[in-house]
Amino acid sequence: METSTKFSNTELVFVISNSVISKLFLVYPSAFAALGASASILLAFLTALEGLIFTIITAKLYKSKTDITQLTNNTFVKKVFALLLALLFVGNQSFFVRSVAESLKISILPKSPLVFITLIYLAGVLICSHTGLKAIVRAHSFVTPFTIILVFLLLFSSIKNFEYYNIFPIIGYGSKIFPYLAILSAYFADFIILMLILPFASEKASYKKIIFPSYIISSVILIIIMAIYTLTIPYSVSGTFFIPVYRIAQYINYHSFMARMESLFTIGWMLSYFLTSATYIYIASMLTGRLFNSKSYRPYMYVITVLIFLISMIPQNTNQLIKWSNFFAVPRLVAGMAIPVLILIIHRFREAKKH
Amino acid sequence: MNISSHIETNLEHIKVAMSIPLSADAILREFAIIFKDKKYKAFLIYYEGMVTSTRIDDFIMQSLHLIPPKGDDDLKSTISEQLLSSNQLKMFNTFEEVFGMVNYGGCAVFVDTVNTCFLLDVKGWERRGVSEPVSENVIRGPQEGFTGTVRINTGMVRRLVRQEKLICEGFQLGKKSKTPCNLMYIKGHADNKTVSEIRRRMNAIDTDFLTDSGELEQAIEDFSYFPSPQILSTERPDRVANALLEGKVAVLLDGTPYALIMPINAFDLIHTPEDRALRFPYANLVRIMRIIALFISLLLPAVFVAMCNFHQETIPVHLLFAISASRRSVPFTLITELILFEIAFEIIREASIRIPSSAGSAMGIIGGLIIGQAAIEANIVSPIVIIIVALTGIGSFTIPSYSLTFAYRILKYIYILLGATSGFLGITFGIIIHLVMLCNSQSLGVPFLAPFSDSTANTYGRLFVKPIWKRYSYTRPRKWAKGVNSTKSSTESTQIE
Repeated sequence: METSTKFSNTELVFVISNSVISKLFLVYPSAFAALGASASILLAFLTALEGLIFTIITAKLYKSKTDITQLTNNTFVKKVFALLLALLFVGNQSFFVRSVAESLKISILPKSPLVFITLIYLAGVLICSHTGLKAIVRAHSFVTPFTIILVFLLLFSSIKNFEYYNIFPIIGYGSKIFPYLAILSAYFADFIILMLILPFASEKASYKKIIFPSYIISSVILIIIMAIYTLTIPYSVSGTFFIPVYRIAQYINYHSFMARMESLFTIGWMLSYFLTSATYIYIASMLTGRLFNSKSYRPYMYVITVLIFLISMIPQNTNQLIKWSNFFAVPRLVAGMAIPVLILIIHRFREAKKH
Repeated sequence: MNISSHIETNLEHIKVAMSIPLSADAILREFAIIFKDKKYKAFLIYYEGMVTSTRIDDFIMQSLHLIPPKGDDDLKSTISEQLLSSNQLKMFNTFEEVFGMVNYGGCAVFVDTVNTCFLLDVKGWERRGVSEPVSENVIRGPQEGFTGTVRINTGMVRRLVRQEKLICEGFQLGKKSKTPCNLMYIKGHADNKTVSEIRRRMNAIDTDFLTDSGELEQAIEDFSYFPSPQILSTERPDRVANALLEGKVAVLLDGTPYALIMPINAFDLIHTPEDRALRFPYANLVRIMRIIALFISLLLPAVFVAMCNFHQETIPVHLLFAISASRRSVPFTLITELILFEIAFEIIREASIRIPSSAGSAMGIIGGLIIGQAAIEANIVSPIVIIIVALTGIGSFTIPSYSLTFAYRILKYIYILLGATSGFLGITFGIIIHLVMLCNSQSLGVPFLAPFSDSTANTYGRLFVKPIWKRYSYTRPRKWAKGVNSTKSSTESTQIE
């Protein structure tokens, strides 16, 4: 690990924001649309509100810059939590990688085998992870703003395709949409990585200064994308697309020159995917390395990448992938949000007792 | 080996070591001097062509023969203090030191009974005068380039900086060549750690001969296998002066008209010295154009291959039909056709550099026009491929750094292969790895993509030119921008004239 590495607030904001919003370029908006229909925008707002509550709670509780896995006193609990997070990241990335490969196969490489796409993608991710956290974090400073610009470009280019009656009825399927909110709030589960890389932040950095801008960016992008998607695609079909944002991009038409821009948009989204996966693989390797008290995390990257590849190949088709991904939202919610909050509360109580 | 007090021993050693009389340009002149009515044998040695003969006649021979020695001093003191009237006189006790100076335009004088050699600086070789820079032409801005002599070059820089804190540390590089080299920086302004690190790297160079700044650059850079150069090479004194005023460090090597500036970032490599002289909207326009051209030179062929092979939907239908029609008679695949013509272009480019300038235009006509036209008519390449290759080539010509052009020429082929293998996925794969490598690299501790990738390194380089009233001036950091003391600007200014 680069012991001398110190990241600024801005750099870490870009890392966290990218990790959260990269999901939106895959199947995630479809999940919102399938659950909420015309109320997708409302669900996005409510999810953002849940995210705000989570952000405020963690900002209140997480005062130190210590890695969250080190906040407990018990070594066994530390190791179990680190293992749990590593497994969560491996599982999460397995579905993410498969989703990326499937989306690329559907969108830009229909003739290429899925395994070939997955291998190329994972090779790139592995090289990025191997280069180190410093390089990954700094690369976010270029990629995240570019991705955000693409979202706004998508918004401005799609305005002419908006059908405003798509948002009616405003609460979609009615009150039965609200129980899904708990699951949808897993959108913000990626904030957990900040609690793991904060020790590498500069002296001026603090959790509060990073998490709130990250929350704002993530929420705004979520709401914008859900707004574009809901207003462009009728809710009767909006829940069925595997790569909704790509579908929206297909409608963009800059007169006769660039008739179809979706492939070019895909470049920006791919940059975002690469860095998200590289961040997670690095952190998963770091956690695994700690489990075995290893000084170098790099050997674990190879093992974890192979593991991710093997798990990503398990789903038979995209339907199974979507089903399993939706199911995986529960562990994401528990390990990424509930357990960290619990650990932070216990830590605060213990600190209060001490003083 | 130490110098003996017996002149015959010294003479014999000199003859053997300098291969006299085999070496035709080594001049050995034996004579005698009279001191306190006693005759002493003496000789001087120098290389013809490296010294000014009149200075030897006027300040050495004439002094030693014509001026009668007076006083009670011994022979050694009398010669050094009263007889030899050159402004730079050094005394050495070993032959190694003597040879080092004689090889660099010195004249050594040996006198019997004195176990010391008198070494006078009488350099006077023919040199190229100050002329316009060959590889960094500008329309607006100074038109002077470095020469091949380090002392003239340091003088040109000092004339522009005009600071007593400008340090010019001397080094000798190469165990045998002992090439004079100067490390220049402004004391108190340049980062001490950076200066120490450069000093350490230069002292650590373990080579017999080092004769060019290109070799020195490779010897002290951070990552040898990284495609982009990490040290800026320039032949313009104004660029070196501006870099020194920004807190950077310059290294000048004798025998080469190029100075090395460090630390730098990626954006320094795409800036030209003219950017400072131009009004800021013009300078920013050309910088944006240069960045676009840079991306064209790097990615255009790869994107073209990817679009034609994988993402045809991105090409307008009419253009797609036109491309398809133009390639109908071409027997090669697109990737083969493109790589063949890229290689042909590289050969033409290399040939046009190597042939005499008088034949350059003929080379362009034959290489570019005749072969290109004939290749299309013979259905070896399609017109669109020629357009792509030509645009890529023109794009690469806009890159100000010659070394960076090489880096992008190599990377272009990697991107073409990635684009041909897996379309935009391959290109993105290349971009992300390239970006991550750039983010990971540094030039003497300064992140290569600063200030974008590291907000702590704002001092070095920016992507766009600021208006003149917002530019960083370390002697008057804020006053000028706020309009305070604006009337004093002409007297306080450190801007380069």
